[in-house]
Amino acid sequence: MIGFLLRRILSVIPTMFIVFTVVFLLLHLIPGDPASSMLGAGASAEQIVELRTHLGLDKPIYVQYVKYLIRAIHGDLGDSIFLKRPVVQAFMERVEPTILLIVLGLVLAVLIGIPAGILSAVHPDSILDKSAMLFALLGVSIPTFWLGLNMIQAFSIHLDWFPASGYVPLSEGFLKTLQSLALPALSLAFNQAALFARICRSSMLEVMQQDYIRTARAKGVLEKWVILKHALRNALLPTVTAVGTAFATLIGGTAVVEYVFNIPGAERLIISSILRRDYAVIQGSVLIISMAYVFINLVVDTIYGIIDPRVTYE
Amino acid sequence: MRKVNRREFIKYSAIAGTCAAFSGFPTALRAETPKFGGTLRVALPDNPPTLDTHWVTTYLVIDAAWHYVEPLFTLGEKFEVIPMLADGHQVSPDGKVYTIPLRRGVLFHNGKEMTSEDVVASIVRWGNHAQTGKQIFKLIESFEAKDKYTVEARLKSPSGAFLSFLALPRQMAGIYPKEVVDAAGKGEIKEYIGTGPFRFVEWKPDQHIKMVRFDKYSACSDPARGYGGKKVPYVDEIRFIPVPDVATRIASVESGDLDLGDWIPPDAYDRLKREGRIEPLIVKPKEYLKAVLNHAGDGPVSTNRKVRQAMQAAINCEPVMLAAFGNKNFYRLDPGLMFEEQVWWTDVGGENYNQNNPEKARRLLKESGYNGEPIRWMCSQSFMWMYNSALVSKQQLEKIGFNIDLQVYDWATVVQRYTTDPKLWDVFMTGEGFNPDPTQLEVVSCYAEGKWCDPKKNELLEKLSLEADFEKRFAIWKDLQRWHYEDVGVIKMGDFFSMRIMGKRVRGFRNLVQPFEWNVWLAS
Repeated sequence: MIGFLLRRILSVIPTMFIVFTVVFLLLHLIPGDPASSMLGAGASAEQIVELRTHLGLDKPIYVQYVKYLIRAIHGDLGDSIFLKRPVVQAFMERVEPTILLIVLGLVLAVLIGIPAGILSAVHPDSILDKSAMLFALLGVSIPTFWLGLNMIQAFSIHLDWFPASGYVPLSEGFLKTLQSLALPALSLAFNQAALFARICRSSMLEVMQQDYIRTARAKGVLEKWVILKHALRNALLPTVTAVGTAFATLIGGTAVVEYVFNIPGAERLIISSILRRDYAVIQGSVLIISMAYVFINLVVDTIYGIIDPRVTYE
Repeated sequence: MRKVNRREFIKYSAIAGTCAAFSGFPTALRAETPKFGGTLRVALPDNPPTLDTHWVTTYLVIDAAWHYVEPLFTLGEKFEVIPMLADGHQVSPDGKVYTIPLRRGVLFHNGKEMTSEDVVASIVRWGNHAQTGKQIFKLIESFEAKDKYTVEARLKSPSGAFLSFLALPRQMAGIYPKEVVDAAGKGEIKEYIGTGPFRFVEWKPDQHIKMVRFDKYSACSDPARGYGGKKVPYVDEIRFIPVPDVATRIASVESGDLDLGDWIPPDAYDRLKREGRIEPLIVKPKEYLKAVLNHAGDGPVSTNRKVRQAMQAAINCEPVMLAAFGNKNFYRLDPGLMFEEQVWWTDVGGENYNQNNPEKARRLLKESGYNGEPIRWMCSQSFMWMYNSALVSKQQLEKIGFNIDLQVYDWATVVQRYTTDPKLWDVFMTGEGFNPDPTQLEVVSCYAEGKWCDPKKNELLEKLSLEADFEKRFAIWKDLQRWHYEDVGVIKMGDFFSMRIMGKRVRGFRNLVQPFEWNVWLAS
């Protein structure tokens, strides 16, 4: 187990180097630069050249790359050109709403998706099953931004239950934070819940056909224990994989929700930074997210062994 | 030396040129007693890059920054120049020396009184850095303090546009404390301290810019007019909140989470008007749509006037404007390079505007010797009005034999290409913003966008800059506009307006070209 973990951690180094280089080159090879973005459409060429020099963007790409690589190795991801603060600080300032949004979205998705999948599998071809699968079909088909905008119309403008946009930080009260994240989390959860329901249903249906389920029933075990103890635990492995993957995907995938609900999260920071060509923020954020992605995959792999004793780390 | 008091000054400046019928209409003025208190939440379409008004040209900066920092002069109800931190001005008989007394007892937010040393430091910095400042400082011999409360500008030659440059909202000549200017060095202002009705508190990018009422604000004694006069900070606090997504901006004002929103697309107008939850306001005039022609490149557009004339003759502006703005309430066809609300408006040369004459265009194209070289027409989907108008223009021009290579980029790339290398492009679509004086127009500038540096144009522009008498200036301006349509500086498509939205509890909001929130209060 320790050897497995060490190997996985060491493999992060080349992965991060490749990510670093690809992102740097992609950003610097696409046209457009921060100076013209910052100065606006009316800026003169002279002003743009002046600002490019001021920002160090007039240096050759390889010089910028080497300088940035050395700094990154020392843990310095540079300063944001636009925000005028260290990238790590800028990213960490935005990470709270993003993490809360992901966690809340996933909790809601699990709470909705897994029971829906179980009920569907336990009552196949019933109205309940068909309704749950219709919900799953809608969930995977409806774009998140469309759902978000319609929820704003319904729950913010017409019913006035939730704010239409913005984020209230935890420091101003947990309930207020929860209220500000309710609609975005729900729109994020809808899609994931549908996915979990489908995966849970299909694996439950498969497990329910197994001999040991028949044996459990023959022994006279109550049906709810057959489902929850014998079937669900065995059917959970693909769902846990899906939850883990969803968590990792959402770390880089809440951008649309943050944009629609105007949440000042890490994803919106990246989108804004791309539009204003804030190279350091884009590079730094992608690196941090890549590391988080690798770490979560590691955690999911480790959890396999806890859930399923058959999994070994040879 | 001839002395001009405040009242005379306003009268003269209105006559002298930088005036017009301001189309901003007081839709939001309701017969209610203003009250203090509350937090006003204003949506910005994006984060401003800075709150230093000298630093960049983007209007987003002013939307927030001019609540904390003020200029010496500003624009009144009819685009006339009116004093703000200045207390009038005097002009020497030869028109070369401007003596500007300052209002006394005006405090900065750090408690220090504003004096001539702050004004000189700020204006010199603006003149060295801002695009508009650099332009007018070419005419300035010296800008110095005469005493504690008076500054003096010595011009190399008389100028009818000097004060309007100091009053221009874009890259505003804001007055900062001298120590703040000194601390900035060659970089941006680090401390946002001014004399404005609101005091800067904090800026959390992507979250908000927070300003609170400045209790010791020294308001101008004149009644409120245009961007100047008496400013009252009724609300306790203003939060400028960046909301880049338009649908979210509208929904947030509809739900009452925000109070004001700008840059709303015209297609939402009919629905919002019908539903009546919030008030949609038309901002008129806002800009005009123009196809910028590259005069500094090596392609046929740059080198061959007949090619440009053929393009101008072929364009039918109505479908171009309809495609760009969708709703007829939001555009109008007009040949004037200055808006019809301004006294500078003239239609001379208008026979060459909106010609929609394919026969003439084909004849001119044939005479030009054009051989089907691709015309590289840049546009951006970041602003759909630019993209849509480019599509329709391409179709019209291809019908008469042009080979249009439509190149779609993000806006930052368009800006980079036209600013860095004139050999990379021929045409692109953009807007020309509001300017109080014709010398400030980008369409006639040698340094902006298309770099139209035709000698005859330059000669007329210089005469216009040096002349102080309005009637003579207007005659020169007519000649310049006529020559613009003959040489085809840009292809003007039409004036367009924008939409703002206002929540039901907002009172006292003046719907002028550039939004501001002093004198605004919140109903219960």
